[in-house]
Amino acid sequence: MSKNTDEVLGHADESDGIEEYDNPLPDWWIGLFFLTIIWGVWHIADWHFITPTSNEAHYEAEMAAAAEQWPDLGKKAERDDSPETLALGKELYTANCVACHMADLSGGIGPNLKDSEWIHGGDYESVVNTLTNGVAAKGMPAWGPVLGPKKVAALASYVLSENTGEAPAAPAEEPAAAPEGGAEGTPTDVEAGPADGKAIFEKNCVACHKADLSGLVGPNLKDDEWIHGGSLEEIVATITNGVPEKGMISWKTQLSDEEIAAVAKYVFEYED
Amino acid sequence: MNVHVTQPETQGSAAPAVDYDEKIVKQFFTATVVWALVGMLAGVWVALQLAWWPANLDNPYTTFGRLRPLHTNAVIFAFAGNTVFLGIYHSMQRLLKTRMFSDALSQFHFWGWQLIIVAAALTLPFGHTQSKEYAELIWPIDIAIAVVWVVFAINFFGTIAIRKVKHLYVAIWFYMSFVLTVAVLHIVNNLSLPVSFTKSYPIYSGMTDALVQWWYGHNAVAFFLTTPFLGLMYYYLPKAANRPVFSYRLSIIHFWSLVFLYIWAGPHHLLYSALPDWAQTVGAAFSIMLIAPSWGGMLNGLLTLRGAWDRVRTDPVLKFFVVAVSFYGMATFEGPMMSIRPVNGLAHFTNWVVGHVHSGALGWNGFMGFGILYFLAPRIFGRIAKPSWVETHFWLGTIGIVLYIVSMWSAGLTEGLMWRAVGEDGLLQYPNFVSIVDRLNLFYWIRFLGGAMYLVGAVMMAWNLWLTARGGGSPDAELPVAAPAK
Repeated sequence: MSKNTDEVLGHADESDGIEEYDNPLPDWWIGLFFLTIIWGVWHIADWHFITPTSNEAHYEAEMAAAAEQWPDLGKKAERDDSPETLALGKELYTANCVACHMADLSGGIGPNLKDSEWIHGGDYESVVNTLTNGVAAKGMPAWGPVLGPKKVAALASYVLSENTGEAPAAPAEEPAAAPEGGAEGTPTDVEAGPADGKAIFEKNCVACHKADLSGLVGPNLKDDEWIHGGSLEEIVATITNGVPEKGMISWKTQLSDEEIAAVAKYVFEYED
Repeated sequence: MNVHVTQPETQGSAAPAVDYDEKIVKQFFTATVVWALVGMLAGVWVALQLAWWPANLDNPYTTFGRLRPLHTNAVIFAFAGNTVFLGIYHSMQRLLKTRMFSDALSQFHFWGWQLIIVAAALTLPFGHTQSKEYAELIWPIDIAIAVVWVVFAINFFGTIAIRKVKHLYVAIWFYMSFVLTVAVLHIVNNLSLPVSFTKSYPIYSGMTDALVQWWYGHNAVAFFLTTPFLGLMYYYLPKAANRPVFSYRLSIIHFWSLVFLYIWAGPHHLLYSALPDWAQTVGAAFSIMLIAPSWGGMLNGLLTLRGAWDRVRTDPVLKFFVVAVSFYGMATFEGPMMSIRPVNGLAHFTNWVVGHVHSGALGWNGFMGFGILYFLAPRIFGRIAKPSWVETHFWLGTIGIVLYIVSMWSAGLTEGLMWRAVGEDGLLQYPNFVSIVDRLNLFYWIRFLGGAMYLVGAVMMAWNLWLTARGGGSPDAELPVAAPAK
């Protein structure tokens, strides 16, 4: 700072009394400015011309390094029905899958995995594919990046080993419980009088519409918005025939007319 | 640089020859204090929601997604905006030795701007938004902003035209860059086709829209929160310190380099996006080159205090300014670092960004604003009701900022590192996003505490200034100012 002259310019009367020195720019400040300019120019030149690179090139280099370090990650592992692998599969299933597919694979929010019906293919390759990539449109997450091929293989082996190939049980699989920590009991535990709408609702509907009718996978049933009509008759019709394109099941083979009427009445009259 | 004085006038305690418009100054003074409380309260509220979700009151109008833009609009355009207008209407009349060009335009500007803020508060909670960050307001409000801004510009440049001095002081250059550039940024970014009274579509699409948005977004930081505040610093800091500005030449060099470089830096908000690589590189390069021009302002502020540092210990106004300028220097170093691709890869989308903007907003803008309010209060009202509270406010605010920034750095690094953590098996170590969010809760609470302390300080200030104003006292716009040391 020895170069500072500390001489005022003398136009304070034109700046409300504020005087100004005209001290030289600090050397280190000029040095810093030039350094950053050089850095900026060098960065542009380097990134595009000297060692031409790009975001894509960086990505590919990282992926190539990963492929070298973890060569098995991109490959599929073989089916393995050894007890150790199946035990690992069960463990993984319990940790990750039961919320939607139920502990006994009978399905809930996600489809039944023990019957003979496979929406996305029931051979080992197809199950691995579904597990690895998920089915985004239907809410099935991609487990490949999370579990890796070995664990996916263990999971697929476990699911296939548990698959009994039984005939699919009519259109409706009974959801057991609300996914958000509702009652854990199986549906058959619920003792319901034939016309007890509340019990029928809790037994069959809560997984999608929630116990307080606020909706989850299925729409909210306690607000004023009715997609398919809000009169008692319309509700009965919706329950009876379902809305297959949206995943609402037709209940006419599952419930008697009396039961449908009871549950419709319960929904229609529901209040918090 | 010898500009010859055409109208020699005695300065200091002599009665002002010009009849300045003090009413508009008082109006913006009041608005600054009121909107500070509103904006900061909204900020503390949304901070609480992140730590403890039931604070969203379980209805759509008060959820984070709607209150957060209300918070940012309130602190940027209401609090910081009114601070700048307060400072400009007060200082430019004195710097140019003239009353404002038109009192009517001043009033139109004041009331128009306040109505725009009220309109923002009445639309954002109801979900009416353009979904552009810092440009959320819907098109009818955007048009109102443009109209009010043009009126302000006419008044501003009209005042320069009728000035009684030849030389334009450095603060005025910075104000000019603000008035001109914000108009261009606002109008270009908000060009859109209305489809209803509350809904419009931008005329740009896809990546072009994103680039225009961040050209605007970054330069809102530059020309709404940086250059006008530097102008305020160039007036109020030497005034409060009663020292000559360190270097006229530094002020010229850093002004022009700052405004030239800033306008290119926007693409650093879009690193690793679909924006062409070369544009990303240019954004990063210009951001790095911004360090020295930004620090030029900090240097000229801090070095102006040479010979006055003993007074910084006792004068709370100077304390606010010193901390503000220091945070300005810190934030303008941190920003360029975050513009370097690999650093950005770690920092982007994390709470680090939130911490970064708040060292600017709370430290630089907030503390400059508080310092100016405390500087002006005795000059407008003749006294300050509770001087000791100013000191308390300063420490509450300073500790609050530190808690805020440190917790957000920690949260940002935590989540940034957890997102990318890969285990020995080559798989993500934390594939479950919620498990990462869970880790941040402690930091969110600390941030809430820091923000709450900052708000309490602001409430003390508002209460203090209200007592000050209510107590009356003779208006004394021109307190005696001792001749600057030679």
